[in-house]
Amino acid sequence: MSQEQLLITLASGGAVLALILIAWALGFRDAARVANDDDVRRAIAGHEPAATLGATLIDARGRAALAQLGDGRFAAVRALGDAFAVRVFKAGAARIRPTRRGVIVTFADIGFPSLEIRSAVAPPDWLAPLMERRARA
Amino acid sequence: MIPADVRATLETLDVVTLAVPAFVALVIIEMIVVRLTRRGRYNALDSGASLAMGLGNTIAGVFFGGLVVAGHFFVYQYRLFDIPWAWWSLALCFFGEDLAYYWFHRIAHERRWFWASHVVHHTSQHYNLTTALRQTWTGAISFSWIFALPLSLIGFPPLMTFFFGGVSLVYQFWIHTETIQRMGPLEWVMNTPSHHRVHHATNPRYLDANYAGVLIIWDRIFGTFVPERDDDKPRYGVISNLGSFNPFRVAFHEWAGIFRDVRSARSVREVFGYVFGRPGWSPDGSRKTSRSIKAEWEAREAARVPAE
Repeated sequence: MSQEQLLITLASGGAVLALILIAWALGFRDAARVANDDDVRRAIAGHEPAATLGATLIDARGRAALAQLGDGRFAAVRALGDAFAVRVFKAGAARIRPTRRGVIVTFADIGFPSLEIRSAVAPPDWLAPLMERRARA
Repeated sequence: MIPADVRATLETLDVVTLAVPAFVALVIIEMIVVRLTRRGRYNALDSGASLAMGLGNTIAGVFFGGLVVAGHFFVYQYRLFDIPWAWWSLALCFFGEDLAYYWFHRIAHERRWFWASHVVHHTSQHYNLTTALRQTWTGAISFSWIFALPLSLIGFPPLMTFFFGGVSLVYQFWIHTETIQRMGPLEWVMNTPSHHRVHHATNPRYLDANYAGVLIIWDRIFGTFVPERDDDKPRYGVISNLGSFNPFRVAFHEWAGIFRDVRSARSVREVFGYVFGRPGWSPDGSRKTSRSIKAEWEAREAARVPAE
């Protein structure tokens, strides 16, 4: 990398930081939150309008949720900035590990990092198929 | 022929680097317009991820851009014609580069090897000027540039092709916005914010559409044009939402997916399908492709209409 290229890269990095700060200062820092089943339903409907919602498990901090869909599939909802990232999957595509505070859901896809769902209640029975299988896709 | 000084300028002009200050200014203006009018959306974290990808793309260009230049000059040795720097050849090269871009872009959506690089640009659930800068880090090393090689083979000087490639990139920056609605007669010929919103949308109606760079005519000619509808507001992103702002996850998640699938493949056919099939291809058809999603939606629509 030449000195000129290094300078351009550093200046670009400075511009990136400045733009992020300006966005922050202008108030573009809303954080999405999953508070209840309606939020989960809305998030999934934005992804798969035809999906029907069954049982849910919502993170106590409102950062994520797991849902069972009417057709037997599952959905993970993650608050990502001011939006929700949704991943609909079949049993076998994710692995759930119970912890003292709730569950951790792990996907094979590195584009959807592990989700921690804190909950005061024990993992519900409908999560059992996910706890017994290894992630495949 | 064009004057020697004009030619020298075009040969050395890095239009993308020159445009960077304008990019920064326009992003700030758009942020203010969005804040005042509520037309469009911004999120600092999402924009940060997009801008980090843009910066990484610049750095990758420093290290791997030579591959693109070398590839074009290698092919240029075997050119069919000696095309001079002239006004007519500039005009032809503009159309040729834009056509090559259309096919690059279309194949980048239809074949997973190229999609693994291009998907980066579609991972934001927002659509604003920072989304335009969310660019791949792996385009050069995955040979995404080969689609412009026929221009060098025909005999267009590579530097002329690079110039119009830069012009196309700069042009495509400003169309990543929700602050501009429709643009009248320009919509017939040019790629516009409206047409490109359709391209970035995951609504089934809008999948596999509007691959144009500068001119939308290619989509109209090749049957991939879909107009934006007021009753079907675009939802942006990719079909399998990305769940992270981490630039490294953004850059490499699809490559990791290919690697994982190839490791589980049971035949050469499966390896080929996972690497060069449509994104979402699977041996048993259990995964969804954009084509199958669109077909399912069309079937649902067809079934719904008579009932209404």
